[in-house]
Amino acid sequence: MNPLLADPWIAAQIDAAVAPYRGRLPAAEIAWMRDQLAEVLAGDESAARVLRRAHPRPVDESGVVATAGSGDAAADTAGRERARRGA
Amino acid sequence: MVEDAEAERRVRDGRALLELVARRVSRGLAGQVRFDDLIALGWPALYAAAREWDPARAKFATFAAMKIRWAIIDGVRRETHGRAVKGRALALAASERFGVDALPTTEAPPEDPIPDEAAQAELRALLEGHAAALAFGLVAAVGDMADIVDGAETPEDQASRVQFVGAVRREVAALPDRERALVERHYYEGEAFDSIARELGISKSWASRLHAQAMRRLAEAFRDAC
Repeated sequence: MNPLLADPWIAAQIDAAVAPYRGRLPAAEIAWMRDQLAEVLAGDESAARVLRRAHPRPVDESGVVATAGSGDAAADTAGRERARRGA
Repeated sequence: MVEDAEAERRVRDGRALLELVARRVSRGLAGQVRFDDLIALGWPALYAAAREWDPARAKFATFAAMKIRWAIIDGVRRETHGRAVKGRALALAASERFGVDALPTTEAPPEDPIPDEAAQAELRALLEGHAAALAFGLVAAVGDMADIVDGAETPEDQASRVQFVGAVRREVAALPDRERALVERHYYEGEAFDSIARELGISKSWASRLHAQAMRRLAEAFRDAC
């Protein structure tokens, strides 16, 4: 499974995109599509940029919203994924 | 054969890039095609990239990776494999081509700490388009009913797939003329994208935009049919 799918918000976006095909394609193909969509978000520079802009920032217990570059979950996950793949 | 020393160096350095791209495609094909075969399909593209690269237009790694990936995916879909592998190769090809024109080429605004609603809509449209391209590709490889029957699938899965193949064909037939011609001739009949564009009298980049538009229309149709 692509590591980006561990982020619930990203997984929800991807699940919404594959929803029209559930029941029309076998479950294995749907799982494969989810993985490929995560791959697009991790491997395509423009897609990764849109993801960073779209991803809600985590809010800690004090109510402080993290700003871009300071723990953005999507950016961190995407960055780790790119580093892992050596891109 | 590469003409000059610089291009030869790019080929040498590009070997690691070729392996990286082949590994990614191999994952996409669930390891069902031999890694060495993927490398063999990618070599000519690496040579071509080394010769054709224009430093003013893109980084070599970006340019070469794209060419290599396309060559490998195209090679897999053209060679004789089972329907499942061919379908996945076609799906990756459709998604890859959608990605070329999926997003505006204008400079993106600086990243804002507040979630950007426009970016969320853009992300949604991007994922829906890629999903439609993948789903379309998975069933576009189906030539006749015999192709649909897959021993690994349950009868229910097979019935759903038959219905979906029919629905996809109907939606493709309903596309505007040039989009339909591009999609049918490229995916169903296996014609080269560039030559279809030439015959339609449009540039390759315009053809890519029409292709992306076709995938968006399919995404919308599939979503509405839910």
